Amino acid sequence: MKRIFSFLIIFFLGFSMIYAQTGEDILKNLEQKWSLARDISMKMSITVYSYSSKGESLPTKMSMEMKAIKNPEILRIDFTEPALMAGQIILIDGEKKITRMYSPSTKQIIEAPYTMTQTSTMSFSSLPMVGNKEDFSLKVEEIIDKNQKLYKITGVPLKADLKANYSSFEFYITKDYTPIKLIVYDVQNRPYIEIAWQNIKINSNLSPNTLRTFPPGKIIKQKEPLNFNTTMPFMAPSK
Amino acid sequence: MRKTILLLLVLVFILSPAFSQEWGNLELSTEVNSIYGQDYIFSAEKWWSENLGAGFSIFYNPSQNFSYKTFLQTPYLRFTLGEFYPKINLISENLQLKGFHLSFYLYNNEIFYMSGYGARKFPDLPCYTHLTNDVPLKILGWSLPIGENKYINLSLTSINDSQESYLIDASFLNKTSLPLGNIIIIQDASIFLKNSILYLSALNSTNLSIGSLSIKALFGYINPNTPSFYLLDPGDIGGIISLNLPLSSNLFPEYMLGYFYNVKEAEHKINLGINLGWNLSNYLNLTSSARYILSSKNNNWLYMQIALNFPTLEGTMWNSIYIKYEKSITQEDTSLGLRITYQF
Repeated sequence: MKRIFSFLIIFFLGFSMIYAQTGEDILKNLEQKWSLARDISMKMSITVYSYSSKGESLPTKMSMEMKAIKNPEILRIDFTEPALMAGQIILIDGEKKITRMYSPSTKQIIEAPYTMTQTSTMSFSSLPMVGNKEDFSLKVEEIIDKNQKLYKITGVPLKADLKANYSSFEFYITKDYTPIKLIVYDVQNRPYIEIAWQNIKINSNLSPNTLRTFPPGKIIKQKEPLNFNTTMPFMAPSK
Repeated sequence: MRKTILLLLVLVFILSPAFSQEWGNLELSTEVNSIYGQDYIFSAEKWWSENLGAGFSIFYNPSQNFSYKTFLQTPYLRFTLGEFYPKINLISENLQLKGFHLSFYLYNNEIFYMSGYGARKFPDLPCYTHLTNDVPLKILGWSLPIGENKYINLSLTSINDSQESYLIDASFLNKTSLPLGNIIIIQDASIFLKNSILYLSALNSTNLSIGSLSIKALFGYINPNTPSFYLLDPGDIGGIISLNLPLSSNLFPEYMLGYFYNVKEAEHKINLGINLGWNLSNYLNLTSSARYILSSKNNNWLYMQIALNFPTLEGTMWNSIYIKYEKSITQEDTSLGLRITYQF
């Protein structure tokens, strides 16, 4: 009996080792889940930390609500924080080939042509990936946070140019591949950038009309494309 | 460096509407007022490029009058005929002229001439919009850039109200770009010549906008013998400031506070006001406005407006239902209105 029991333990341990997910697997599953979505909505906040000469952290936070539809390609961002940005809305409409920006202080909607050379509308659904196998060494842990089982992926940069900026990152992802939080640490191992996601809803049947409808405002059209880029420059500091 | 990174991220969302243009607009509105009866307004504008456009509007009130406005804008010429709100300088917003306006554009210079009958009006207020234009005016002006983001406007106005008098006006605009917005400062000085006596007035308008924050200020002095085409009454000295800062991503208050002393009437006036915009949903927006002038001569004045706005057709059309109420020592009236605006 003891032999059988030992065999079972060894068998299950071996089985779990064979099927343990690597960091790359988790990130790939996460990306795949998002890339297959018809629409996505979420709340997202980005905090950038700076430090006083005494070492006190001085966080600067920007929060927004993002809604995106894959077909037709539409992305809408409603800024909620800081107060200086609150109420501003950006729409990237890949079907109508236009971008729109609403400003509550002027009650104007600036409309400009959208060119495909600009950031792809749905590119936000590709999460800010933290590099590939050659860039980082990834370590996976399973943790429990607020009664929720999470993957914690810790990445340490391998390349010299990345090492010059980061010491590591921590990426928290639920078991069903929903991102919760990403913290990037600077070379002194202090928080550098923190991105947090909330209320992520996938395939909730967002309507293009809802995303395209802005508060009342005077539409001002301009010929030049808006010069914005929704990629996050700090995610690729070496480039 | 970190602040710079976030700032860069924010900056990429900021754009300048400097070369922007409006392409087209249709508006149909009607307003029933307890004193003035029912107004009907229809207007249409079409712009083919930033300096080529045309439009017209019709105003009809069965018990009062019929008026119209039509304009044509070309790269070298602008012609306007009918009732319209011209600017004799870079601050004036409250002159309505019934007549014509002709502008010539030569190498970034605008030379304009206007002739007609004028009145000081406030577009939102029924007690003013129904005034008769009865002051004969002739205005000759010149507007020109004098450097990057700097403009100057000069004008000479002839006012033939029982006797000929002249208003010489000079205003200067300076725009400075800020990381998330800009600051625009306009200084205006005018000399009114009447019965061989010169009367001096001066105004300053400052508009600071940074992202969703805006602060506007208007202060100065209008000589009591000088006609006013501004918020200030003749004889007023003082100023008004307004602050616009969102409380949340869908609640947008604007607070106003002002004080004026009228040297002619020896009257102190405190201006209080609040505007509130509330985006209840993508398809329903509420706007409200309340203004109160508290006068030491008991010449108090109250204005309130509340509007429900319904954006449709993906925001290109919005329908608005509103109620207005105004009360002064001489009259009290209420309006109910409907406005449909389509932008294309």
